[in-house]
Amino acid sequence: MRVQKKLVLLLWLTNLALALAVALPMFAWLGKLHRLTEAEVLLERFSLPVLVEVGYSDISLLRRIYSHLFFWMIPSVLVLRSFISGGVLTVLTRPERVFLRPFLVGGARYLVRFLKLMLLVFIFATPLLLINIAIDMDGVATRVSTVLLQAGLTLLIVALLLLVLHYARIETVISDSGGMVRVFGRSLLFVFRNFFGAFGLFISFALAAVLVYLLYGMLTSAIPARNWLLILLLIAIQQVVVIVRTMLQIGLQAAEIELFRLKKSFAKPPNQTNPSTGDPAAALPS
Amino acid sequence: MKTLPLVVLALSALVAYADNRPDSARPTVEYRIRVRLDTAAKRLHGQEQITWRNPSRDSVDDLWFHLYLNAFKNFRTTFYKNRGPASSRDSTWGWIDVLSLRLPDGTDLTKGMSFEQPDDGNLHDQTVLRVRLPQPVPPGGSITLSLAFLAQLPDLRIRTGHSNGTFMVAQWFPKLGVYEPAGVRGRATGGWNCHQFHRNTEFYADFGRYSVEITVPSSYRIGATGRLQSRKTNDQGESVYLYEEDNIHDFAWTAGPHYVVVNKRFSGRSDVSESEYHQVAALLDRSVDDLRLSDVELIFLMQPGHLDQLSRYEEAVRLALKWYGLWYGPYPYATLTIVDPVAPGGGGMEYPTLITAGTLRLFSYWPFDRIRFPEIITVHEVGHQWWYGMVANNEFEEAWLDEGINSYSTGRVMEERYGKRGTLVCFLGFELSELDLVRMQNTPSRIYARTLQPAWSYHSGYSFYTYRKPQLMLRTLENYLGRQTMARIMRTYHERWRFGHPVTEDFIGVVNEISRRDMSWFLNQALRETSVFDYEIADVVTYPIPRPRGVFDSADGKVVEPEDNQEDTKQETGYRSEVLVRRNGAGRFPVDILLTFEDGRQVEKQWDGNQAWTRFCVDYKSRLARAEVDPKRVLELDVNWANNGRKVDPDSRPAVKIASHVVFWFQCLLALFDLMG
Repeated sequence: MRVQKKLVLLLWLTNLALALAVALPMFAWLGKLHRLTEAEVLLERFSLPVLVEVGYSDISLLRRIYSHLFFWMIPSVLVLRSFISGGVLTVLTRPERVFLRPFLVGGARYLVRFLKLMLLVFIFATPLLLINIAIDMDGVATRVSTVLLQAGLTLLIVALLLLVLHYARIETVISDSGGMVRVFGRSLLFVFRNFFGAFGLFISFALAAVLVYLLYGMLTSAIPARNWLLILLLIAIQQVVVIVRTMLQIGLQAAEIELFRLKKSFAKPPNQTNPSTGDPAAALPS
Repeated sequence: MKTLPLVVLALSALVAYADNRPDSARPTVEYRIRVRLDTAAKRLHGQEQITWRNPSRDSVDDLWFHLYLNAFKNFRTTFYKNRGPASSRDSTWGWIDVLSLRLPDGTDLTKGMSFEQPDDGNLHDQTVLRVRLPQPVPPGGSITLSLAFLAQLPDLRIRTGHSNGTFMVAQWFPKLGVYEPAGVRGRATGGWNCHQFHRNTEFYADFGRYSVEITVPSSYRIGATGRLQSRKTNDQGESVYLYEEDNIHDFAWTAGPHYVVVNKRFSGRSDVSESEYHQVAALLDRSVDDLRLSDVELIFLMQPGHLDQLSRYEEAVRLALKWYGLWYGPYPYATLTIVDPVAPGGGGMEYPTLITAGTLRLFSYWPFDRIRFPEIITVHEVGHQWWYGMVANNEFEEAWLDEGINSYSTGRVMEERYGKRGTLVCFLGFELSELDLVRMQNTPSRIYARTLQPAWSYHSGYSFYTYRKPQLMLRTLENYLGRQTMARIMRTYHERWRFGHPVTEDFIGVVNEISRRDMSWFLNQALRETSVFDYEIADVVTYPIPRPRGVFDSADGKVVEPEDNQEDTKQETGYRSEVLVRRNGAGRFPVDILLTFEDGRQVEKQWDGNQAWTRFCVDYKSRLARAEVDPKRVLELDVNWANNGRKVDPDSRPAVKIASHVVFWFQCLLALFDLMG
């Protein structure tokens, strides 16, 4: 548990640092609010019109910053997250209580393989999603139903491919596999063979996360953060939510590792004789 | 002297008014139509008898017809040219052919038929048909024609066509344009006003009498303009319905096997409370008896999957009939049919005594049931019975007169029921009003088109300039003149032009007459110019007033201040506050400026808003805390209220609060990457 706590702390800090880096340009933009009387509404409630109108004054600058930012931020985040994921899985799959060294070694060891896996998932996902969007379902549903149906299918495809990615990474770390295409194929099979278990785990953790966000929504709408004390309380609540969300993420990964080990230990290679059918007179292994 | 232009305006409005009003005893047009729906081929087989009375002093030697369905004939029509790249969904075509056209004596007029393209000269467009007559129709005379037509209905698009076995039949028959005598709507000479069917344009027609016999399969349920006079079964076992109505300018109907028909009744007694009658009577300075509303039969044609939203439609219809009726004048027809369209492509649309509304199944469920699109659409479309149905401006040329005025009215009705803040969305503490949404679309870049231009001539932004900008303009007018004056303006305008064809000048004339002020300076800016309005507090400073320095004359001779001629650090009691107010847009509007001092005192200043900027300088014992231009937010057309007020000392709480949300949601977004990375 101590190791998991350290993982949560590390992930939360990384998350906060990245979020601050992304949000930084917006802070300068939000600085315009300091002297605007209209901004006082924001202390009472969220007001989209006020933010939109503040945006009019400098929206091009903000757009420019973010177009540059996302150009390098998304790839960087994906690389960093692949590194972290390698570290997290290495720590979670090791019985020993050491944390930092296996985390760093695991992160470095599996980084390239995890990036290859991600690329494979993208290659696999793109035609599926394109086909889904291109299918004309006018005959079976109205236009809006079509959009909803396609959105639902897209979510399902994305969720399934995420699961494949998760189990491929777990197998990579547990068996230290190198051929990523084979690992990807085996994980695909694993997810389809254990669809209900894998999907059930994923959904239950996702529902728990949704519950946390709902609770957050209810709590913050009840707190009229007008003064500094309440604003600080709001910030504290937000960070607690992120920490809980991170714990759920670690919990999901640990549960997926357990499921993978459980199912793999029951799986038998074909044509292998059952050890229990051997010679009953033979000596027991020492 | 100041009143002279107003008198001239009022007189000219009265002259135009007299010319543009229909004679209800002798309607300009009378249609008798028999139509049979072929559900297999999706076709209409029709026979039509039209009587047209020449309302002018001209001899008229031709008749111009709209053949709207030809807009869907091929991708070369003006409709599709306006629309941009064709969609794969437009896979079936719609068209209408006039098969025969005769005078009562049997004279065949088909040889004199030709297609005209008055708007764009597109020879492929066949939405306007001209028929040359062998004998001109004399002034005040009339002509009766008999014609047969065959119409192919397309897949449902812009509220016309068929979808899943249901037919929405609108703009479906050969329909006369409007012959406008000289002087009407500013015309120098008399002539036909008959525009092609464009992507954005709607309609314009004379008031008249309609009698329409519709034959459909007996399993079909039907809704139509007007009152149902009879229903019988013909020899083929089909149902034959006869609908009639007077004083209308269009006829639409729908038929389908899946509709669930629900009949309700709006009552002028039980749906409107006595206190509401008295409240509006006081507002309009009328007697309560003047305002009494009559009962209306409500016919809902619902999609089976939307039945649980019937109560939402019903409440919205009752709201609209009540408030439009009280504010502008009673609904004059016996029936109102509300069609829940088969697909969103049907959308909200207005026809005389029949509207299509629109909802989604999604809106039945929390939290989407707190999104009030079905209510807004329904109120808006019912409202068109007043603005389009009764006050029937030319929608091709001055669409704002119905869409803009009706959008303003819709907003007012929604606020009567739901309050100011949550007329559009209201859940989980998030509120958004329809007016907020409209204001957000009014950006500083709205300088490339005008409200008053033909509806087909927009490159983009048609709906903003015809619906939203006029809505904000009328809100501004209301804030400026006061709720009561505005209510009386709208009532007078409606009463004066009920069953008439007003133009923009008529509206401006009524505004000036009732408000007793010339408001043309504002309305012309908002309607005829491309200007945007934006006033800003550009700078605020407050500093201690320094003691006077230098040589001053006094009774004792010249006095030098300060006496020791050293650097003076003392000050007089009090502060000097300077406020710089700027006009960023080309639009001009008089504005108030409110200065609030730290001791709570407030000082109000006025500025005519004509120059590019102005500076206010006030000496007072306390420091200035804040300054606001247009503090009461009169100018709804202002594209940016965020710059209307500035504080002297910064307050970082709002920014920190929003920043914390921004960081939090970025963190949540990054957590999604956890799943991938």
